[in-house]
Amino acid sequence: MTAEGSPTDTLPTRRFVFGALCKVGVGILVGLVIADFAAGAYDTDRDLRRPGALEVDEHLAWTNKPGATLNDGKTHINSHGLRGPEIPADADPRELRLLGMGASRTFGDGTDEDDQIWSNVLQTLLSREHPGTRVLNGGVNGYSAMQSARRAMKLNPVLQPDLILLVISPGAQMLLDPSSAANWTTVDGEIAPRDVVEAFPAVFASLAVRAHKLLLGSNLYARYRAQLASSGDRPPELRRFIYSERPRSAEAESMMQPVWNELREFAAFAAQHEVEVRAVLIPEAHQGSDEIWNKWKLSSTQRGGPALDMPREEPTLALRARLEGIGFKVWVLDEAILQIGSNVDRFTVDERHWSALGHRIIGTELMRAFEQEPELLDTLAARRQANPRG
Amino acid sequence: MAFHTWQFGVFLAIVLGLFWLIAGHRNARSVLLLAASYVFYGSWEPWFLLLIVFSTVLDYHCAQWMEASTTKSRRKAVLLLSLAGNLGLLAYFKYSLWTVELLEPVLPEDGAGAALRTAAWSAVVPVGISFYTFQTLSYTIDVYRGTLKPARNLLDFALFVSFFPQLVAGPIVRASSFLPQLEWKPRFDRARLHDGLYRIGTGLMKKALIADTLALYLVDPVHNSPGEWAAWVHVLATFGFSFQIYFDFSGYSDIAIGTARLFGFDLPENFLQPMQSKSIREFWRRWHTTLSFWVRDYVYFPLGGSKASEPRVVFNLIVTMVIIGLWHGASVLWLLYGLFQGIAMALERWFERLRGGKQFATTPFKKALSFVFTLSFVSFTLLAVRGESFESVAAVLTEFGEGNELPIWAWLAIAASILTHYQPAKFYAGFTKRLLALPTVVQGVLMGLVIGVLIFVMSSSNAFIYFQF
Repeated sequence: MTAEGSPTDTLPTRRFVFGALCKVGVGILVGLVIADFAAGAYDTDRDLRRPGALEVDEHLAWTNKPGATLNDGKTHINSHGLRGPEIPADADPRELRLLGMGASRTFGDGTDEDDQIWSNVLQTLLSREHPGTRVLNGGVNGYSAMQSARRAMKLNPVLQPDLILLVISPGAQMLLDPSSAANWTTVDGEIAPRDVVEAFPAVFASLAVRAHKLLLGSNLYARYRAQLASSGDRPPELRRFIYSERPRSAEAESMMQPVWNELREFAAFAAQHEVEVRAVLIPEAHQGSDEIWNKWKLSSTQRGGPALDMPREEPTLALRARLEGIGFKVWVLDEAILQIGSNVDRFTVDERHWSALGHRIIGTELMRAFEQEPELLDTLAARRQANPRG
Repeated sequence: MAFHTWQFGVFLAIVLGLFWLIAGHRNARSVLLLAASYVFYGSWEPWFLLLIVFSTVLDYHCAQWMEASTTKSRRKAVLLLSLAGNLGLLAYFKYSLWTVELLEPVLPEDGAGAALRTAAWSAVVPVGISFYTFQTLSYTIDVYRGTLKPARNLLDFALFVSFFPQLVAGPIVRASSFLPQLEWKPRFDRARLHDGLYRIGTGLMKKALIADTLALYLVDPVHNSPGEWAAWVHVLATFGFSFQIYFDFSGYSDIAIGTARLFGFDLPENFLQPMQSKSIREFWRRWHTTLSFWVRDYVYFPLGGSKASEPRVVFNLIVTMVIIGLWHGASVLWLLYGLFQGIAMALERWFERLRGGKQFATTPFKKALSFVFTLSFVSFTLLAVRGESFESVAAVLTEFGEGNELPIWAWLAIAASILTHYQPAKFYAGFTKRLLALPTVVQGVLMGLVIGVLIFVMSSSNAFIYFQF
């Protein structure tokens, strides 16, 4: 193959070359500005950069957008980023307050009305014995257990809950966190994305973080960071991962490690701040019955799914043991999932997220869990009476 | 650092600026480009540099020794040294694991068997090794044949081996076309600048807008969950993957060619509208041409090419295509890929001989038929690239479901593939001419828009597919 073109006798002058390159540089900047405006208009129109109720958070990767309303105003996010109404300013400082943390099932994705979701159901049931009990919904769509635990620690000083219900499931979303929530650091006391800081030599870290925060004003950069925060997709071979004690790939182990670390930190945090915690282990939707489970295993063999001989209960039991090993008291809502799995058309909206009737089952089963620990709420109420919120 | 990252953009701006500051000094600009190329390559893994330096030093001296040799036997011995050194490295890093897997039934558990396994499992394929190995081999072979004089000095040769625009994924450059360019004064004018920017912009759009979109919305969903999609979606995804890999790889080549042009260098074209081919032989004259022609010149022709008996020609074709298959990857799938290509080419040749040497595609209908057959054959055999195992390939070919709703982005990517690849040549030439005639600052604006679109659509960092070779 011969090269096209032929030699030339004259070298272009520097003036010509750099003049041309400068024109290109100016043109690139103009083009980027135009593209930036276009991106902003597109995303604003579709609310893509901040889809629904979510906004980017450097520490959590994303979180609920305070003040957002969805579903024609039927779904509300209050000023603390919790689903539901505001906590009244004149709320009784001695009220019993429970905080539920989890992902989309906890948030109640798919059920528009705030008062139909499990937290409201539970609040109604609890209020019979303990009037004035408030159940707060801290669920965030797409969350892992790591993000839930971290957010609980962030919300604790503000909300001062008496009991935190940390909803957790044995699947990939909860336990294999690929988001930027695992990749943060601090520079000059400020939370910053680790990839931004580590892209430059340490001496430029402060400058890099400042440039990053300045660039967040650009629609394109903000969009890129939002995608980075929420993506980091799990590899195809881990998308159908479900927890068990059976041997796992090194990649699964490395993705789970930050989750266990965060849960251990959360357990220690709760002990230190005298906040009661219950890990509420809700099996995955595909554990809703033996039939659903077997069908799911067959369709998951190409995507890192479990062995075909794994019984339905195995992931739940294994995760329970693991959580108890970390120090959590665990409530398992297997009965709830079996009830929901018995009629997915009735109790779910998309075979995964609960319908209003499904939420009622969850709320009722949680109430049953409380009844298994009859002293719990009395103890918490007494503690709060003696130590009202300041 | 991949071409579609901001790090490469900053790197290119710095190197380009420095290059044109010192462009009048021959050795200085070569040193700068060499240093930049090593920085570029070392950004993947610093230890990769040891291998490329080894190949560079070995082949530079082999060429010098061959030039100084007075006997053919001595020249041959030196050539064998070069072949052994380069192919030995390639064999270890790329093929040792596969070899060990093939020999597993007979390898002893301990002793030599254990040592072999350990050595194979620790072999990480250095990015671009297949490309630069072939590049350096063409140099020593050409010097051996007497068709090329050795490089003036080690600096020039090292730059030929490692020139960063084409280092990790081609085009595979011949020393006979690159080394003379080092002697010339660097070329830069309005036309070359506009063309360079156009090629870079086109390459980025091919990758980000078409290849990545095809992957994300059509190919990956079907390959990840074959049982959820209807049969026609599988067919679409199979054709889609061949276009995905074309746009990904040709996009990279465009960026390489455009980048080199900004420094005053010309690199060979690598893709000549291959999806318009009407025969498998034509396809391989249009697809990854620098590899095809390399294998033609250094394997097919030395074996006898087409000037041998018919059985021998068939043998030559099959061996050549199997080498091309194995160049891509160390697996039975790749071996079979090459084998199918070779058999198809042999059958085409036989069919043509049956017709007395006359071409088949002489009427519009026959041309259409040939085109459909070629595209189908290419697409279905390319499943070996996408599937990582026989099971996954079989799943795509046999496990069907009922899902038939593709997102709009998949359809837009399919439409873009067809419109860009099958537009009339006259229209494309006219459009390009008008585009390149626009002022320089407008070229910059267009590049800025391309970069903006790239940032906008990038949803994941799909690495260039051919980086694995």
